[in-house]
Order: sequence, then structure tokens, then C-alpha cells
Amino acid sequence: MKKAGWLVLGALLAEGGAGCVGRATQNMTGPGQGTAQQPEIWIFRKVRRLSNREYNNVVRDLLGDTSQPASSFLDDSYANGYDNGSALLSVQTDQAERYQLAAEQLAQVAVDRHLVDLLGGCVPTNTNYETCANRFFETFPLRAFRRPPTPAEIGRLRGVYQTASQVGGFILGIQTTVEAILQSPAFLYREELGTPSGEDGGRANLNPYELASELSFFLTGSMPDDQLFAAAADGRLATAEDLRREGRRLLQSANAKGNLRQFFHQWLATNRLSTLTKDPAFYPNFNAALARSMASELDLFFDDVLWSRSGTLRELFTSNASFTDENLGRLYGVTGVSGFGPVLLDPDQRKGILTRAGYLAVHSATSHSSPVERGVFLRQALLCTHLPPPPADVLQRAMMEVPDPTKTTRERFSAHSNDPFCASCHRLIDPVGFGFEEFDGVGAFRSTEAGKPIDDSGTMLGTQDIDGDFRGASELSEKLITSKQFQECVVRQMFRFAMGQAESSDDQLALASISSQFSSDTRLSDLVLSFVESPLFLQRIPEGN
Amino acid sequence: MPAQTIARRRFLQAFGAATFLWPLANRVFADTGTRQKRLVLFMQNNGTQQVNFWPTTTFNSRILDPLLGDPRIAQKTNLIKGVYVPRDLHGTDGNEHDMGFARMFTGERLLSIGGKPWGGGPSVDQIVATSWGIDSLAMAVLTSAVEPHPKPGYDHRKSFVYFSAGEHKLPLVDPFIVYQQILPAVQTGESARQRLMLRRSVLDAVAGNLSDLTSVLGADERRKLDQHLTSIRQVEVRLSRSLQETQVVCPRPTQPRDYTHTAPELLINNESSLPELVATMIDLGATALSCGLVPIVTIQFGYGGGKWRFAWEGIDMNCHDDVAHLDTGDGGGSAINTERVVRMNHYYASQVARMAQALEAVPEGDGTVLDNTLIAWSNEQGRGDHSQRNIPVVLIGKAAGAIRRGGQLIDQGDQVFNRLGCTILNAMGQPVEGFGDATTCGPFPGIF
Repeated sequence: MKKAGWLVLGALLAEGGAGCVGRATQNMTGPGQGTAQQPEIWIFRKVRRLSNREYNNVVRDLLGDTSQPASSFLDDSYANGYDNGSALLSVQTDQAERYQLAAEQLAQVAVDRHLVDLLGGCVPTNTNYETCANRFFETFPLRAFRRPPTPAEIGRLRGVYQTASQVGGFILGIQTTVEAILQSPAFLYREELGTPSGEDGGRANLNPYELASELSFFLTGSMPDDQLFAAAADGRLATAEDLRREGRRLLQSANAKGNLRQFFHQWLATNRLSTLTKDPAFYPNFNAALARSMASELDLFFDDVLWSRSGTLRELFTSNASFTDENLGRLYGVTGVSGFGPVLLDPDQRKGILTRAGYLAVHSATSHSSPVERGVFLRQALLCTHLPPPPADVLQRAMMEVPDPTKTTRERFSAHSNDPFCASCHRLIDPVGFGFEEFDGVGAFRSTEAGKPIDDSGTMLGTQDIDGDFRGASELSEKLITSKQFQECVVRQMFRFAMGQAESSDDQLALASISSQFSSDTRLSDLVLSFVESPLFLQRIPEGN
Repeated sequence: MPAQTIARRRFLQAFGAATFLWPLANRVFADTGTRQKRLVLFMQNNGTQQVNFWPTTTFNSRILDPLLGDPRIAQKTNLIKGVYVPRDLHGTDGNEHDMGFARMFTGERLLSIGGKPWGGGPSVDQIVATSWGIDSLAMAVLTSAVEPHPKPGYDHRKSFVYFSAGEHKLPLVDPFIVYQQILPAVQTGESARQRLMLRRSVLDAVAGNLSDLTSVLGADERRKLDQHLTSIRQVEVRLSRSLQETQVVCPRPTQPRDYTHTAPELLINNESSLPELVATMIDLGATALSCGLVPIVTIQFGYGGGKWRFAWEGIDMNCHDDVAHLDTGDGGGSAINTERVVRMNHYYASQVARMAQALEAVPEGDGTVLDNTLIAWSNEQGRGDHSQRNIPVVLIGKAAGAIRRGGQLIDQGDQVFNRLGCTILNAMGQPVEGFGDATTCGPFPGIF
């Protein structure tokens, strides 16, 4: 059904009927300041609210609490395309109440189960409450705020402690103080403020604790660990070299691996597997269990590529080594597996992430393979192409055509290419999606559709460096990894994840600087580290009022 | 106070249901007998079916029959034809869904954040809420079997309500949470009093820490934390009121199921309880409005550009791509498709009518709550094929006398969409000449 692609497409084609090709370029034009050695920094001094995922991670690491209280928070909206980009979000009353409720429950459990830990190892007896309280105020607020508390903050927290302990004793005093800490801005927000200098336009160098948080949240999605706190406290976290050293260390942690998995799932939209639905009339074998298997395969595949193999884009986009269980094995035509185990997929059919069932199932409609969605997503997410929407009259014209179910998906969508109005933009999209036609709407391989052989020939147009014909998604992947436009797009995606905000044209130079060090044969963990040691990470500029 | 007693009795008779002593916690009005204004916004996606929406010879239509078939509601209803949103994507990669969704109630041009189309200013309900110093109740039913969210790159379609440019007010999607919020547990006894005292002590410390941080920030970041501080104060206000003895008599709605913890899929990708979710939210909203617990309620039917299947209306298809998009002329597309679009829109009308009738049923002063309310129901598009002409605008209620006319179709040519916000602000007591990016557009003609 050709029209099924129009919602997505509507967000992407040419505005005002102007020819699409000329507009399908990267929309980055910068002011041209700075030098290659010292890219201009355009990241404002700011506070970044913990995202729901980060909140859950932080209470796990701070309190050992795995109850995931943020699952009942409001469902944030993120402007950077990643679930750590809450920089634009304030706290509405509904959310302030959620924070209050969560803090009360967390504090209750913490004093019941981890009191001595909260008190920095002090074991309370009837005679040492004051000692233990002092120990608490010396240790816990620093970890919770991810920096030393200010005297004013400690004063207020002591006030809460006094009030509550007078009412209900020592433990209630500690519990209530924990509630206040968990609702305080220094807990809920990550500060990236630094101390503005009097020169250089008021540019601010972030302080060691701010850097520790920035590094830790980027790499692990959570608060700094003890070693990172120690480095900040001892003055061993100030330079790019320091950050690289700590970054390398953190990348070995399980939290970092989990966090990078999140980056890939969100970049490639495979995080949608957890809620994906298909029309059972078309895909009766698709269900939540199969979707979970698809997601598990990708988890294992991402880990394997990054940490057990070369860790490059080339590996990610061309490897046929993967993992499957019995459930997913049926879809892949792989037998003899039980539980999740390593497999080599047929290299003639499945090379790289773009050929994995989870990726293909997400980038399909509920009832068909949707070449338009596949083409649009690839152009947007992998090539960072700006495709403005179609003029309204073109849209109406295209919608009037009734689908013919006796045709193959490719034949139905080919009307786009034959209609000159549609073709002006769809020539950039559909021929990319057609290259995926050997995979149906749940990612199963097929050689025929509607009794006709599958035609998986595709064409890439309007790119900077990989225009031309290809056959099948595997060959498309081979083309992609040769493309500088693709590599630069990956850098932009990493920027959004690292900085928690969408890039603007002002960030062009900083991005170009990082891109110049990156290729399809660079370890992706090294790309992560090149952000860590870039000036983007170290400095902020004053917010324009 | 005999007058109040009588009013209260009539009030309770109108509900004809079990009543309950509500804590004063959330009450924002001095008394339900005052002529306090209320505002309700409904946001719908995917356009209407033009020929079957607008009345012709009589003041009724197939789609609007749930509203206009009730003479009490019809006489308090104004329909405005000719509303359009100028085509302006403002450098974003959005489309007509976004032009309507993010602009209709903000009046502003789209704001590009990484190329995505976000609202460019506060929505009208938040402008009013800020001026009244109160919180609104924002609700939405977002579940979708065809297109569950989050869908990367489409977070801008999650809420049409904005605190400020690019900054959503997020809707509550679980009626159980709404219920808990408007009906908090009654606090009695010494231990409860003590608990509340401690909570206030905690919030005071939090507010102090927020103020410290705010003082070192630039204007944008400061505004964000100011909003947080305002929210803390709102929580404090509720706490302190729940300590007071005074309570208001109000009907107790049925407690909804706890969707988040018992059946989260019903809030995400399963539409089998969708009509129940919508109806429950409307009923909770109507109760909160009638009892003076909340003066502003916003309800959003799905994501911007949503893809509901309308199985409960016997359609059970992707009603965005496979139905609304095929409505390619004012007269409709194929007969069967036109019938589907009519049924979808008739459903929306029935839900707006549910709210209007609930407010009409509650006496207040010398009229009803609806007389003190303005319900504004609009749409992101005029037609499902993305036409931005004749976007439906339905205004119901008298806004405490501000709106004098009713029972009419206002069909006076093109009306720029900014007039909707301008009309709402004037009805709510803010005499403005424009709204959003149209500073002198004035309100709709023939309303005031």
C-alpha cells in the first residue's frame, strides 16, 4: 500500500515544491570561527535534568535500589533523539510530586536496609548518634550531589535533620534528610556551569566534579564511581589526558557496555522492539517473545562487535557473526540452537546490522516491508540527510491512488517513481528502500512475493560520495562504510548522545574536528574517547540572555 | 448560609451519585458557587470530514450530532468555519500535522530543534494558568497499536501543551494517577499532621537549594528552574491545604484501575481499553472542573499525526494512512472511506459532548458550570489529506458571560488560526488584540 509511507514521508520531502535533489543536503552551515586545533565551543553553561533512565541508574548506584522508581515518572520528551536529552525539560508539578513520592520510598528502604552504608560505615548505637550524623553529612550529600555540598545546602539539610530527629529520633532524621537530598536540584540536575572567566568572552572551564559527572553519565549513564570521585577530589581530573585515562577505565565497566548498547538501539531505533506490533493477518508468527529475541540478538551483537572484535563501523555493518535462540533461529533458518548461542548467518543474505531481523522489523509497516520507511530512516539516521516535506498538492495527488494487492510491494511503490511529482523526491528514498526487498516486514528472507521473484536492486542518489546502483542490503552496507557522509553522520549522532542536545550549525567546526579523526576502521570506543577529550567536553560559554 | 446549602444540594442532586468529602487540598476556588471561569481544550489529529461536519440548513450535522442534537449544548455552541494555518515550516522537517498540532494553540511559528518542529511559545492554556497562578490538568490518551511511541525523532508530537518555546508540559496518560492527584488521601490525626510538617520542611530546603542554583544561571536556565520552583510551591500549597479542616462536598468518581502497574500495554500499544481511557479522563476532568479542584483541563486524543485503529467504531484499520489520507476532497473519497472518517469524527464529537454535558449538569450560581466554562475543540488539520483549510473549531460554553452568542455557525471567510488563541484569552478575561505571531489579528467575529 503505497500510501502507508506517507506519514513518515510527509515529514521529509520537499517544501514548496522546489526540486528535492538540491535540498537534500546536510543542513550545516557554520559561522566559520575557530581553527582546526581549537574548534569553537558553542555549548552553553547549563543544568541537565536526569532522564528517567539516568534516575534509575543513579539510585541503583547510590542506594543499591533496583526498584526503578522512574518507571512511574512522566514520560519525558527528548529533543536530541536520545533518552538523555532532557536539557529542555523543566519540572512540572506532576513530576515534582513523583519525585517526592520516589524520594520518600527510596529513603524508607535505604534506612531499613542500608543504614550503615548511608552513615558512611558508622554503626549507630544509643550513644553515638551525633557522630554518625556527622559522618552522614560528610559522606552522603557529596555522593548524592556528585560534588561537595555548599555550606548553605548543608545548613538546610541540617535543619531538616534537626526538625525530623526531634519529632521522631535519629533514624527519622536521617530518612527525612535523604528525602530532601533526593529532591534537591544538585541531585536531580547535572551541573555544567564551571566558573566563568573574566576573559575569553566569559568562557568557563568545567570543574573536576562537573567533568566527573559529564564523563560518567556519557559513558555509563550514571553517577561517577568511587575512583572517579577520588580523581576529582585529588585534582587528577582537569585535562583532556585525565579524561581520556578515566574514560578508558570506565569503558571496561558493565555499565558502560550497557550504556553504549542504549546508544546503538536508540540511534537505529531498535529500542522500539519492546513495543513493536504487527498485523497478525500478515505476520501471524510475530509476537512479543520473538521481538524480545530480536532485541537480545542485537544486545549480544553490539557487545560482540564492540568488545570482542574490531569494534568498528566496518564490523558493525558487514559482520555475519551473530547470536540466535531457537525462536529467532526459525526466522533465520538456523537450526540446532538452544538458548542464545553464536551463529554465522548466511553471508549471501545477512551482512551487518542492517540485515538483522530486529532492525528490519522495526523499519517496516505493520503489514508490509515499507520501502519508503526504510529509505527515509536510512537517509535521515545514517546519512543525516535533510528531506523536507512535500507540497500539499503533491501529497493529495499521491493519496488518491488505490493500492493493487496483486502487485509486489516494489511494483506498488514504483508508482512514486513514475509520477514526476512524486519522483522528484521519492527517487532519493524508494530506490534505497527497494534494496531491502529481500526482507519482509518482520525481517524474514524471501525470494518471491505475490508469486514473482524479488527484485532487490537499489539506487543511491543525492549523496556526497556513494551515488550509484547496488543489489541488496549487504551491498548497500558495503557502500555505506566507504562514505565519509555516513561517518560524519555517526559523529553527529554521537554528539547528540554525548552532549544531550541536538547539534546546531554552530557546532560544525567541533564536529569536523572529531570527524577528521574518524573512519569506518576506527574503534567506536575511540570515537567515544575523542568526544571525551575534545574542548566540547571541557568548556562552556555563557548563555545569551 | 442557606443559598449555598441549596446550591450544594442541587449540585449533588445533579450528579446523582455517591458523594464524598474531598479534602481542600487541590481546591483553587473560594467556593463552588462563585462564577469562576474554567477552560477546557481538546486537541484532535488528522482532520475532519468536511461535508459531514459543517451544518447547512439546520444547526446540526452527522458528525456533530452528539453536541448539537442536545439543545442545551447547541445553544451554547459556536462553530467557526474558515480557520486556516498558513503553510510555514520555518526551516523544520515537519509537515501539516506539525503545523496544526504545535501551532494551533500556541499561535507561534514552529521552532526548529535539530530540524524537528516544536511549538514556538507557551500554549494558551498555560498563558492563562500562569496569569491565574494555578496548575492545569493535562491529560492524553497516547496508546497506539499501529505506531507505539517512543518513535525516535517524533517526541515533538507527544504534547500540544507548552510551557514555553520547545518545552512541553507533559500529559498524564494513566487515569489512576489523575485520580490520585485530584483525590489525595485524606490526612487526619497527629501522625499525619507530623508527616505533613516534615514534608514541608523537606520542600522548604529543596526550594532554598533551587533558589541558590537559580541565582548563578543565565536567563533560559533560570526560567527552567523557576518553573521547578513554582512546581515545588504548588506541592507545598496542596500539602498545607490538606492540613486544613475545611472540606468540600463533591461526588467521588469511580477509582480507575492502576494501568501503569497492572496493564501498562494498554497505555502503550494496545487499544482495547482506549474508549474507556478517554471516557475516564473526561469524567475525572469534568469532576475536577465542577468541584473547583482544577480550573483548566487539556485533553489530547492521541499523538500528533496519530494512527488509531478505531476498532471500537467497527473500523479496525490504520485510520491515519489508510483512512484519513484518502479523504481527498470536502465531499470525501470513496463512500466506504467517507463513512469511516465520519464515524471517527462522530466519536470525537461524542467525547467532547460527554464533557459538555457533564459540566451542563452541574448547577452553579444562576446557571451551570458550563456557563462559566469555555470548551475549545480543535484539530491539527482541516481534512485528513493534510488540507489546512477549514480546520474545525468548536467553542462551547459562555465563559462566565464573556461569550454572549451561541447556537450559530460563523462562516465569514478566512480566519487566521491565531484568532483561536486570541478568542480564548479574551474569553478568559485577558483583553488582547492578537496571539502568537499575529499581534493584531483580533478574536473571531460574532462571538463576544
